Amino acid sequence: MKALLRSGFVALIASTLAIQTCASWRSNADSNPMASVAAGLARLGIQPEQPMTTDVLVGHTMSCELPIHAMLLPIGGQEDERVSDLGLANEATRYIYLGSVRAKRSEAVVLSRWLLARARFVVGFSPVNPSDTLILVMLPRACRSLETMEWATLSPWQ
Amino acid sequence: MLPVFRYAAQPVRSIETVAQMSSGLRGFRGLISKPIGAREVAIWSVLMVSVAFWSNVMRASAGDTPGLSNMLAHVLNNGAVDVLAWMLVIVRCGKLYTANPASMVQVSIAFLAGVIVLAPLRFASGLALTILGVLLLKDQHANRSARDVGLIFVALAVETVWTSSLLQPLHVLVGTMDASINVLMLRLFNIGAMVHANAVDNISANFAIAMWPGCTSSFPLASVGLLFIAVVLFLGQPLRRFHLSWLVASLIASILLTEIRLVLLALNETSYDWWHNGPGLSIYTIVALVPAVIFPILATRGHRMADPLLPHQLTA
Repeated sequence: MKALLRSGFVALIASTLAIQTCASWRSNADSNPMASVAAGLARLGIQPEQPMTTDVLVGHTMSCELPIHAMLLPIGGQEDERVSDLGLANEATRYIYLGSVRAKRSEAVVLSRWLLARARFVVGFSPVNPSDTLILVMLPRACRSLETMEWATLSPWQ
Repeated sequence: MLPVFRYAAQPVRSIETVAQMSSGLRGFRGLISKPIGAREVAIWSVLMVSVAFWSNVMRASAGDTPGLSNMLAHVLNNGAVDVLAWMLVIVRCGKLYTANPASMVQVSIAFLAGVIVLAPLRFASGLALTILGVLLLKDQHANRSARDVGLIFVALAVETVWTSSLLQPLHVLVGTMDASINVLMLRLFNIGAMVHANAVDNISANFAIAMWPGCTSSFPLASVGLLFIAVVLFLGQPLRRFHLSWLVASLIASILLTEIRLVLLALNETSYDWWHNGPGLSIYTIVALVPAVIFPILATRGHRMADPLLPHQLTA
């Protein structure tokens, strides 16, 4: 019994080390999320103007003369003051995170999706570690057609 | 004669073999039924969670390449307080429990902790530390060393959760309060400043800073608490009720020092560079360490006979 228990403990320690080593080498979160946003916008038919040069991406589409803005925000809310500084009177917002698209930011939705995606990554169901940034898209209110687009494409569920 | 001899010799050999087998079986049964010691199970438990805890710390984060230098950098970034706490655990580890056999509950919880830490998450380490810490604190057969380790485990678990991604929104919320306090303090020195959520805009210097979770006054509190407990236990005393007031004083001192540092960071860009990345960072670390170490020393001085915080702390 004693030997069996000892073997069990040793096996658990060895497994922990093996899993941790594997976790180090597995694919981590998107290394260039801004480039991924630009690619996502292109898939929606929006041509990004300045990809990867600034932290705000400007895009144009054939159906709307006014520009569309996209930016990345940490899910912890560290940079939310930037959004308040923008003064979005003439723009509708879309907060996009792992398949969820909302007009207002919801901490509960972001956290629950991050937890679920993280759990799926940890147990090996998903190869991608969830990003710790959400995408904020600012749409001109004058172009109503933009609001019904498939914005989840920018950050699909993993 | 020869066949008869052979025939006669064989039963003798057979009897010996049976005796040996019987002895071996008894030994095997003894091996199976021999219970594992409580101390040994405790040592295995400590070993399992320590391996998981430090593996999580050393594991490369997003964008890093796994390697020895990165692992060392992660350990150094994690802070000396955790190293100190684990040193205490290692020192006390050999004295956990007496030589009694382990109970089924103890063995089960050790395995449960071992299974939990298989998940490569800091949160899993925190959960396992909590389970083992509560077991060590609540167990009637646990001795003083076991209770010390239990306290450290619970404090480490709190620190792990406190600094995790899950509590970042809380620190951001505190960051907005820190920003407001920062602006008030700057105005006290006749420096024009405005606050936008968790950002401070120093109008006089045309300079702005944002309070990120790691910079807020709430972020280091769990480490300060852990350091307080570790120093008290290193001084050979159990945690007592009146120590809590000293612990609160230590936390308040930490908050005040962080607020002062944030004001220094918001003064101008030169000051920011000096206090955030330059020699000011080392000075602040040393200054912050002084109350965090002095307070537990003062708390333990001359109060050796007071009531222990934990009911069975002096029994073993």
